[in-house]
Amino acid sequence: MKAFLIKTTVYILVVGLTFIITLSFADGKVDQFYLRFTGPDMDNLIIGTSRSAQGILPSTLDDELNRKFFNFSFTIAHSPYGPVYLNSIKKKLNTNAKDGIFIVCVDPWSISALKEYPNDSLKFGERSLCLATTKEVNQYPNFEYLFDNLGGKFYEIFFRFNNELYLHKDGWLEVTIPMDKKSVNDRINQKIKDYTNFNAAKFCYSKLRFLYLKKTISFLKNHGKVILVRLPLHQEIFKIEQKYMPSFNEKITELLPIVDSYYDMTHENNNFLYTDGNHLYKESSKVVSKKISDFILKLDSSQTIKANYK
Amino acid sequence: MLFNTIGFAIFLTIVFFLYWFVANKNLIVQNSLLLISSYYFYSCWDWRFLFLLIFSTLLDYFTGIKMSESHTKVSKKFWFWLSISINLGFLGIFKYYNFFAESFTAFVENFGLKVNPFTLNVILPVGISFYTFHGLSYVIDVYKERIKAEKNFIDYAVFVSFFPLLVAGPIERATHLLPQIQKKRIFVYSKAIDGLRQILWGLFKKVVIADQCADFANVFFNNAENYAGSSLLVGAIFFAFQIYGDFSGYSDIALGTARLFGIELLKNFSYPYFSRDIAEFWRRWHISLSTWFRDYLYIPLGGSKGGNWMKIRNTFIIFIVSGFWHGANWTFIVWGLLNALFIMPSIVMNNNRNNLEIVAKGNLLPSLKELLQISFTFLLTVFAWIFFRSESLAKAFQIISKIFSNSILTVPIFSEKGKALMIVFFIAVFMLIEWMGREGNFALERFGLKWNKPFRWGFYFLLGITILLFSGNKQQFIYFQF
Repeated sequence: MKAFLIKTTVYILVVGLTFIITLSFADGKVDQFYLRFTGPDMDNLIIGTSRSAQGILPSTLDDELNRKFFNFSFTIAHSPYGPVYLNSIKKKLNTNAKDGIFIVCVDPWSISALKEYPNDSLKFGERSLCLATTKEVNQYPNFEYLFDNLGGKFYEIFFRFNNELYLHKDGWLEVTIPMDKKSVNDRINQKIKDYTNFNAAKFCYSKLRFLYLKKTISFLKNHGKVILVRLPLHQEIFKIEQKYMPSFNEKITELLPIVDSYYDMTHENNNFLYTDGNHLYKESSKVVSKKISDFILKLDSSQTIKANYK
Repeated sequence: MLFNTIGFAIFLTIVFFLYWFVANKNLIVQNSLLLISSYYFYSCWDWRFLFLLIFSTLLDYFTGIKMSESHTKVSKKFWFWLSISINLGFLGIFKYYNFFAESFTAFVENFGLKVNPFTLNVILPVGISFYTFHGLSYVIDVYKERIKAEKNFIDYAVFVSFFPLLVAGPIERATHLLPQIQKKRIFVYSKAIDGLRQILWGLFKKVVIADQCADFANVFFNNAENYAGSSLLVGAIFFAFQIYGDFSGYSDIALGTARLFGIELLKNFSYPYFSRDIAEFWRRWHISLSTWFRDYLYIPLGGSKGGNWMKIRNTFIIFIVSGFWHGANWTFIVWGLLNALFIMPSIVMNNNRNNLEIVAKGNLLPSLKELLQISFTFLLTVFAWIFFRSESLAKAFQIISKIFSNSILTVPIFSEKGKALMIVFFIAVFMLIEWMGREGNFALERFGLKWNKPFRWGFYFLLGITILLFSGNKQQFIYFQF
């Protein structure tokens, strides 16, 4: 029995330790969220959904604004405004920070919910997803996240077959997909279909989500400046959004007294390239990020706080 | 509590230590520990059905005693039929009631009549088909006086509920398992190590082969309308490896776990995909169920006595019943029927017992003829699996019609080509190890034993780390639904 126990224990320990060490090699190739749950608390955050996850490069902001940004945006499924996202932001933010800059991206979908339960937070879909289930967002390696979300595919730490997505350490999600005209048009057409038939048909404005957007802004205001940004998108999808929520700008107006500024970039929709109409192509993301940093710089120099939307 | 979870590993470690270090002095305490652990294990699925398990155990225990105490044939028969009818009644209600109600409605509607079937909104208690068959075999054996009724309730309850076999077999016989439960077990190092090796191999089959194949099989079977025949054929082959890895993996873990407690369970699989004909396949696939049907259905029906006609009839009956045992769906019945048809030529020509030994025994490679026979038998089973896996007969026929169309000549489409190639590599490694180890009770029993220690341990280490890298899929074992 003694030999059996010793051999078994040694075997389990060696295999187990090797596995644990293996997990620590997980990086930005492993999935599109993992690295956002690692690393320290941050002073300056980019908040939003997949549009900002792909559309704003912290590195560009860092260079221009001379501070360290972190992109803590996820997807419309994971991080629409609500209790789950707010709780996670609270964990990711360095609570000692007093002069941070927070870029809060808004669009009609991030303040929408399923028509059946628009204002019942217990029915919000993100409750079962990683932002809700991962208690620690500042651990490296984050075993909790890996065990909960990488089950069945830990091997992808070494063998990743899909190289389209790469999550940078600063939280920016780099997407590399074919950008020939046909591929782009196909994806845009598919997105238009999805937005028309699914999103616009099944979702509606949620008062509760809007309230949580307000709460998120109020919380962040305690730690620095809050800049609301509406990122550019393909004109056709923009039209769908306008039709879906015509009062979006009025709703944003309600927020102006509590934010430092609002930068509506949808006036420049036609100036950028999109992978699928909804998300900026990485080269355009760099330009957009530069524009946002210029906007913030201007704000800093004038010390005035005004909305620039019409 | 799935076998391939950390929860089960902790549970097993605790029970193992209590069993060998605390309860080892007294057989009653040891068996009581096994019973309590088994009931805890079962209650982790759904504690409400624990009462059904206990009721079923009590029923068979008491009817067994009553039969043995009966002085008249009538009384003995009464207790026998009482147990049989209640056991089958439970199975019928929980597993088949809705199927019959819906099938009856569909049948009546063919004549223009409208009936609203009364269906039950019940979930199937996990393992009900397995523990009911344990109980039935015991009651039949007592009735036929092959064994004496067990007087010790704890021993009998452990026989029915022993946790490694409780939810998906192997389907044990009282004649095989009860004597082991009644006897003091001694820890034997070589057996325990063997058990661990079998658990390791079972986990590899489940986690690396079955769960990964499932990802592809599910995509093809769930979206058959979008795929060409070639892709669907690949999907069916993936399913063939999925179900083999899943079920034989479960059986390996069950047998290995039981061996850690000094108990030998019935062998359930013996390299079925190396079979040279369907008859051999059925001697190597889910052996404990095949032999159950042979002993408790085929032989009582007359078996092969009475000429070819009886043999054909009885073969059809056991295959259809076997299909129906798997689930209340016409797809399983057709699957059973197909297997009966496949086996029929060898039954009629009386050469169904041609291949009793493992293929190419003592040789490194099979002959070309054997290779062709193995490939043909494998393709037949793949064809039958299409029915087994499909949600409905219509879906199965849709898949088959696509496979037998021109689209079979197209290149199969995969959403994740790299991953598919990786799985094919692992299937190849898996089959190679199975081939090398095919003369043992399980592939790793002898595989690598003659290697130098560092190589052997290196191999076990690689196996362990591979299992962990593929673990965490949380996919149920397929046979839990039966």
